Amino acid sequence: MAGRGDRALVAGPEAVNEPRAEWRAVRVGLAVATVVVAAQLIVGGGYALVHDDPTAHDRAFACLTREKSLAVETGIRDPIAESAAAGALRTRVEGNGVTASFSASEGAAERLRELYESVAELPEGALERRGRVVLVWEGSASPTQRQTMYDCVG
Amino acid sequence: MLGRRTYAAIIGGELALWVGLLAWDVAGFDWLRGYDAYANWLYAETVVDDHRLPSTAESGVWHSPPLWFLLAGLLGRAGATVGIAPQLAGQLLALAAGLALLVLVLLLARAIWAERHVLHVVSLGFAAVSPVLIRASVMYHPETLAAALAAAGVLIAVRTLRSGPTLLAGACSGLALGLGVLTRTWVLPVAVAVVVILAVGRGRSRAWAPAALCLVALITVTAPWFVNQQLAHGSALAFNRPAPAGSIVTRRPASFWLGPRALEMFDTPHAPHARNQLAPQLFADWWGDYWLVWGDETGDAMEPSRVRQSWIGLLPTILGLGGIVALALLAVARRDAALALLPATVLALGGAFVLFQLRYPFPDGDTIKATYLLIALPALALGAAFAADVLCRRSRAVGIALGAAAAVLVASEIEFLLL
Repeated sequence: MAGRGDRALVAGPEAVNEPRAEWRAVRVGLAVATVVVAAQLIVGGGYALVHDDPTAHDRAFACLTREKSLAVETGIRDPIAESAAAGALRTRVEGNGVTASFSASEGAAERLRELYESVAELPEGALERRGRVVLVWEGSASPTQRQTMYDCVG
Repeated sequence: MLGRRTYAAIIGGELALWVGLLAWDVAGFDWLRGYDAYANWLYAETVVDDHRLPSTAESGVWHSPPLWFLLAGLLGRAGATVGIAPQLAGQLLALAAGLALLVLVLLLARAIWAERHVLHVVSLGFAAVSPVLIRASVMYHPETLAAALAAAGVLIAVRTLRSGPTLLAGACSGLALGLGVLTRTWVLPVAVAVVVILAVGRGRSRAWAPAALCLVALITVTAPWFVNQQLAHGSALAFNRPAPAGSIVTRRPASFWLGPRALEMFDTPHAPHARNQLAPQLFADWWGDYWLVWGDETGDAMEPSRVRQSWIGLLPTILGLGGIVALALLAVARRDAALALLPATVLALGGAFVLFQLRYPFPDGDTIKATYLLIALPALALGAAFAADVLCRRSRAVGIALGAAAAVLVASEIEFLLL
């Protein structure tokens, strides 16, 4: 059984509902949360001001080499990939070679995909466009091979 | 305070809408796109077929506790007899646990603030439209069950602290939390927080027994699992990837803490942008879909929705975090142990999450997932609802503005969440 003293410590909802104390606590809480969120945005804004955004190509290159530990080539002997406005790279995922071509727009990427389709006979599932990136695999890509590239090209 | 019928209609409407939305999404979601889906399925098959835990070679999630996999496997077997795919049975289990979590959020709100109907409605709404819950509820994944069991343990503890500790309540709370730990180890820090609060919040009488019984139940339920992990894998908290050598203090660069690419979350809120930057990645994953498992597979069509989600997430994030801070302040001022449980669970889970990130700093950022923090959803929902309720009571104009904002947010959320 709770005694008199216990009731003072195990407070009931009446005590918690006291409007002025609640308003004070919420004011402080919201101020703290706003400062935290604002600080994060200011850090992000400051960084964006003094750093150029890496290109999709640079981001994918860094991701594939650093995070996936893959060997990546950028000098590619593939005239279609070489014509991609935002660059291209080539790597090998779980034994399957893949070329990623980066375009300036989704429309340009789609035209690149159609060009591949018209000049090369590719295995089922070896050609795909993902946003502004076109992926061309040597053989049909498995889900895990695809996922590795998705992780890095976005 | 709302009328009894209006209140019941709104609560019922919220739950019915959620179930309808999720039923639609489960039907349209490819189970293999969920986190570790195939490894989860292999685990469930091994447990049910061979009556043992999988080896490190048999499932990539061998380090996860077995309760959900056992239930999903058994449900899969039962479902197969009536023509339901075993994976769908697991998804339905996750969905049912998600619904249970919502009901527990409502019960928690009622246990702490019995008469504040608006607060109940807002807390339920906040939890219901949180993308992190919706995504977890359609996956073949144990996260929602763990969160529901943790919430049940917290609810029992809140009730017993409000009405006076009893032995039965202490044991039941420990049992629920123990089952939660047997589902996901992320429940462990929450369980520790509950035991500590039960112990220190017992009042002046020597009512140690409920806290002690809670601890005993927790240890009894979870000990076999942790002992097995220690003996089989060399650590009670074994993980599927080895931790790198060296001090954990230097394992993460400054960018992990500072999140310098935070603004990219309002332009391209998904991988690989701002990868391994704690706050931006968590924020984008909580309110959107950082790992691109939602919507079309190429990710193009959903991009505007994902960007909108980042903007939408700002207000509820501030309300949720602000509300938790407010509840902590009030709990200390009033020496209210039941109220302290909410911020304590968030603090304990957050601390464990950061330690985990320091221990396992993988370059692919794979361990930074908002679903790991799903257990904090009830406390954040209640915190946000509390803050919104106090603001509404303070000023009618603020109340109207918040109500209008909430309507816009929910409408936009549903557009994103409906597959």
